Amino acid sequence: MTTALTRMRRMVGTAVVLVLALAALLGYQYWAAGDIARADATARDAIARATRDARQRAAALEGREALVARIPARAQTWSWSEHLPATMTQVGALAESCGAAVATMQPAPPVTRAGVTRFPLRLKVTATLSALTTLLRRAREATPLLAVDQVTIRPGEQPGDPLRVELTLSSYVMADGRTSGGKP
Amino acid sequence: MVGRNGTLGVDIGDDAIRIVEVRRDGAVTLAAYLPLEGASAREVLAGFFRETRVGAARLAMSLPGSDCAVKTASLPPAAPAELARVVRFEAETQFPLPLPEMAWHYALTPGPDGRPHAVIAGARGTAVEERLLLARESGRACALLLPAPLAAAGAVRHPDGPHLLVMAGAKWSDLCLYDGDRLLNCRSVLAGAPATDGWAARIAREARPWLTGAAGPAQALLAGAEAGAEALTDALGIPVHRATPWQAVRDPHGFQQELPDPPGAFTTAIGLALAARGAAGLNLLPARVTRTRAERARLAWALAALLLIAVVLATFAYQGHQRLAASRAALRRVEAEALAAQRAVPPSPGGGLLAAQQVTEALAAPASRPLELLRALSATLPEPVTLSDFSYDRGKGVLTLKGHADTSATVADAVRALGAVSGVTRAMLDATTADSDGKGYTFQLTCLLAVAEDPTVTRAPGRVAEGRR
Repeated sequence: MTTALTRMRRMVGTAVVLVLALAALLGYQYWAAGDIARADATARDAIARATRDARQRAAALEGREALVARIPARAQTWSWSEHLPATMTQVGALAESCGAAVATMQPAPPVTRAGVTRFPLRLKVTATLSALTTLLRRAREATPLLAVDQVTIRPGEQPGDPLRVELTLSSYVMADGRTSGGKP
Repeated sequence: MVGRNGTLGVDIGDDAIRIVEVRRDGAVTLAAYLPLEGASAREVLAGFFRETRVGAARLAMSLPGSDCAVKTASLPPAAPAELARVVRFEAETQFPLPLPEMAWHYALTPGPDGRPHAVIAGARGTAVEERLLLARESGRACALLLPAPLAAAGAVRHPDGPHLLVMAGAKWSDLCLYDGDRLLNCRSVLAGAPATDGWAARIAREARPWLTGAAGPAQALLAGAEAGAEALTDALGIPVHRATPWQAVRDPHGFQQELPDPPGAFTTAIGLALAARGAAGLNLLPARVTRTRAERARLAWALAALLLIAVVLATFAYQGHQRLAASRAALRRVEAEALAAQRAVPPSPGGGLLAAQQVTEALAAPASRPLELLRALSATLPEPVTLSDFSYDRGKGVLTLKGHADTSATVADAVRALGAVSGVTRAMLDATTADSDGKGYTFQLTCLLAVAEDPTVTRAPGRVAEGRR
């Protein structure tokens, strides 16, 4: 009787171990399923990224000439002091052609990422709505490229006064691999 | 099959083993009649169980009356725990052996005066162990162990009033004095077979002390033998009737059987089988045996439950394994595709060409063109709305508008209209204030813009949190 009881206790113990092992196996499967799902998402991201990169690189290589015309290629260390004359000329001419009066023009620190440098230029102008829309349209179509980063439009101090506009226009240059001197 | 879902009463007599089955439906049949013929009871019983298909019946076995002591006591009314102590005291007093050497048990019945009446039965521990060993070697577990005279008494219909029950055996005969169903006294006598000379006289000599007095038995019942009734009548001086145990059995099947012995010889076996059907009552099985069996039952249930859980878990684990295998195969395919896609990417054009391409794409998006936003506002906003401030920030991806409307409903319309503008992902009302002159509302709106990624613009820190309102 005692032997049989001992045998049954061992069987129950074995069954407990079996249940625990199966529970652990299920836990592992749950963890592994999550791991696989994460790996799958990573792989799909990689596919999407590769597809996008391939498209962008193909487009960049194909339209290299047009791109260089809009975003000039310069030495990697191209600075504000080297860039400023051309930008001021371009922006000043643009504003003048639209009938907008530029009150102030202030360069902001440039930002360089991935071989492209953005040169922000803060402007305070006064312009009629018509002049402003022309300015924005021409800025969008400008070559070299001009990006409108910020626009704040407020009415004039008196009714009938032109609008007070604060504008940040950015121009870009891309690195061509050469080096050059100059101060930021 | 013998013993399917029923109980088996195994009476191991001096001359034969008689096994009676009481099925769940109440049918009583003679399961086996096994003459000993010089063989040991152990061999015969083991052979029977080995050669016969026996179901999961509860097995009840008897102990010879000569190996047992059956005592009675009238107890004072008391709580169960106190009664148990009194019974133990009575057992210590009345049994000829120390209690640790005995297996004993008791049953309580109400007496005619309302006081508890105890029937205390005991047997030598070695005798009980022998019976258990016999059952174990027969491959069966004994569920009930009863003294033979008490088992036999359970199969006999007792008349009202005091009477004597004589259970005749081949060597030993058991004498029990009853008052109705209540046992008053019990003893065993080595009187020989009922057919032998002097049997009735020996029985009468033993029973004589019980016969004296006004409360003495008016009749006697003879069970276990056909012969000797007349001689016993003469010897006792009271009428002796033959007890027919099959009468106590309600099911008629028992009567239709051809019995190898006189019907009275099966009294003990029938009584055992009937007693095994009840859960309570006297049982000389040692407490450790019942405890062990209870633990075995618990373990069996636990084992069954665990195995069931294991089966369910194993099913889930198998399905999970299949799913994992499929997922891994799919992942391998996707990873191979990713590898192929990465290999198919042309080499980087170098310098800032790629980033410049990204810049031009970003600036081509509607949300990067404030002029288009301005035009869309003019076309979309409701007529009564006038704008006082327009603030566009490509880096933060935010357009903030301040203005004036005639009603709050117009402001709500403006918010709804802005949400539909191309390049706007969400339009939110920051604040609206009623004019002091009551002629309209001043408001401030914020629009989140779907600005394309410009590698030179860090947008996240200044971005207005989604769901702020």
